[in-house]
Amino acid sequence: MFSKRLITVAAVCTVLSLVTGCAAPATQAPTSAPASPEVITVEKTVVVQATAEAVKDPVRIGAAFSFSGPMSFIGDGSNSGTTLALEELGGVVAGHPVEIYNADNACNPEQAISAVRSLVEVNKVDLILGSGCSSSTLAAMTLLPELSVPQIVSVSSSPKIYDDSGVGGNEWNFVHAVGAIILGDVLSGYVAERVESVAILANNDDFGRGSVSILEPSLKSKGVEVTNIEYYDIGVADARPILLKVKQANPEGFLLVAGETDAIVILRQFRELGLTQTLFGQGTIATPLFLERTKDEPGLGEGLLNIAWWAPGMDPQFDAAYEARWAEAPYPNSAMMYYVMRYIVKAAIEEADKTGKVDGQSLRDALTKISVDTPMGTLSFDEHNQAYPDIAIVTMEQGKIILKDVIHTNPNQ
Amino acid sequence: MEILVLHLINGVTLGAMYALVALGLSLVFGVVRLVNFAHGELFMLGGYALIFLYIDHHVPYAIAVLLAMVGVAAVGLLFERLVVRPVLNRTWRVQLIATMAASMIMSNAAIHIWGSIARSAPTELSKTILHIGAISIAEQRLLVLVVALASFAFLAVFVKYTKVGTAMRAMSQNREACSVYGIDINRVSQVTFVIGSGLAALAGALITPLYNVSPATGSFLTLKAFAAVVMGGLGQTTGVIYAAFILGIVEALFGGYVSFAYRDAAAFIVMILVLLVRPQGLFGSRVGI
Repeated sequence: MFSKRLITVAAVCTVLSLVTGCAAPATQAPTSAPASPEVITVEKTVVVQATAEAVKDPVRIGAAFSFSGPMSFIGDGSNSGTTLALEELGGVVAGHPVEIYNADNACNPEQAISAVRSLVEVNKVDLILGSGCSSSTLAAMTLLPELSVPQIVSVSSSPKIYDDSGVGGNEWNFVHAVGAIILGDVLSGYVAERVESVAILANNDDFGRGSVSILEPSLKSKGVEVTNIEYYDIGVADARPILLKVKQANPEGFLLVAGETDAIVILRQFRELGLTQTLFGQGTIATPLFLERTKDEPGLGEGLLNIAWWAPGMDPQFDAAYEARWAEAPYPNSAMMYYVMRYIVKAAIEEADKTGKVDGQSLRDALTKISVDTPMGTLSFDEHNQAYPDIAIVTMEQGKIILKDVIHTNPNQ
Repeated sequence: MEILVLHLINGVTLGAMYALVALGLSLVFGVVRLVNFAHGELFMLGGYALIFLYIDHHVPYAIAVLLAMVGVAAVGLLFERLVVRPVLNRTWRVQLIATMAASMIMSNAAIHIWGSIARSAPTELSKTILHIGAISIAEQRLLVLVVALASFAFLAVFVKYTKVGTAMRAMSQNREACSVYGIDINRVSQVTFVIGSGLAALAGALITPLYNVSPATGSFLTLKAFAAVVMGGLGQTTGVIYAAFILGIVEALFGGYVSFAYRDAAAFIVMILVLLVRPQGLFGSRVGI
């Protein structure tokens, strides 16, 4: 009996380890966060009292993000941004009250599918905002044609998302934030200006591996030697074995592709081991959340140069409005979702309303037509359903995030 | 050679971490014969208790650790009464489901109470780096190593020389016989869970300053702790020590020289290999702790 129990426990441990530790190509995202047994769909989690006159049927929007696990900052931040935007719109667009429904995908592809299906089939949403992690987004994309609901993607950067969207691919998926192709190319230029060799440590999922697939050749083409490429699982506890490899290779730079939760752990161990390489980052590292979480450890991210979809200072009006509403500094995911809701979704609903019916199909058609002026540049979707908002280069210096450059990514500007 | 030494030191400190987490699990496993899949959540509660006391209310670290242990031990008592005792005489499948359910409830409750974003709790020891030649190590890691060894020593003395410890050993050998001889097995079970929970909280309070704590923290660490318990031998706390350090060193060396992404799989494969050669574990036998 005991041997049977022992073997069962051993088998469970091994299977779970292989599931969470195996490097996964394509859409499977290994994660150290435990999967919840089912998606928790919270009905109508964003309730904004309509201040404008609502005379037409509601437009339901689903927000599928990670609200739990190590990447939960994506969901929490996104919620804040969409709520602020909806409040500024008075809860109504073109006479339609707007309702937002949240669903947790825990940055997990299987749960992403459950989340989207639940939002569409149970909550009857007309549009999806999602899905946060690249692996979740890629998984959710597979459902969109079947469910006839468009998805607007922000903060997912895997090159596969761009390749698989729009003409010749998934015509229901629209990408707001620029992907790894642009981010990697821009960042590698900054790296090449500063160092001659670099080690890369990235998330072991589509985001991290997608980023590295662009960074590595781009860096090499600019004459930068890539000494190490290593991957870690989200929620990593001990990165010291990798960091010792970096210490042994002794590059001039260290490039981290991560979110701030993991970045804090990794950089803490980076400093512990006495590493002094010039720091670079891709992902949400140099953020107010990072500074808040490391306020007792000044200097942890000192000097890190981070390429970001958004940074404080790019839109002072938004910064002030967000801080007034939430009593905290805005977060990249908050900002991105704010602009999506405030400008893109608004424009799409207005355009779709002209057809007399706002549903998944009319919203999809509307998204292909709209062109909107925003503080992040003029946004419209090209043939790959890709928009081109401005991006930022920031550094962390003396406990502050300093905006260094704003990059216009729109090829037509 | 220098890098090898550093990897080995990493492995030893990692093993100490696993050993500290596994100790309480092994104790419960050995005495009550129950696989507690919620052990990681007790570890997580220890981390949050530390943050509440040390970070939010500025209680001195040592006192915060002790209070965290007391608090989570109380939770362990409640856990034993509400979750464990009703299923103690049921099949191991029922026990497994019960503790897994408790684990999910606790982790989701933690999300509602503290949110899902990880919190950190740096201490003076975690910020102080000891440099010995080429070796750099945070003093907090040395504390984990010292406390892990001290905890094992304490537990060994406790179970050998105290009346309660003797009862725990008896119960691990034959629960039914204990009832016949008038040993209150419910009381022994309670004490076991209190000690096990306190040890989990101790692990949480010592390890959180080195990493982060979130509602998801305990789960993966618990898997490693299970591996150490299984590999060390059912209810063999001595075996747990050796197994935990072996796992830590294997992981550090594999992650450092072969592949970091597959280091966890390597550790579990070593566990399987050990079980193939010695199905009862390294120090395992059918007879108690």
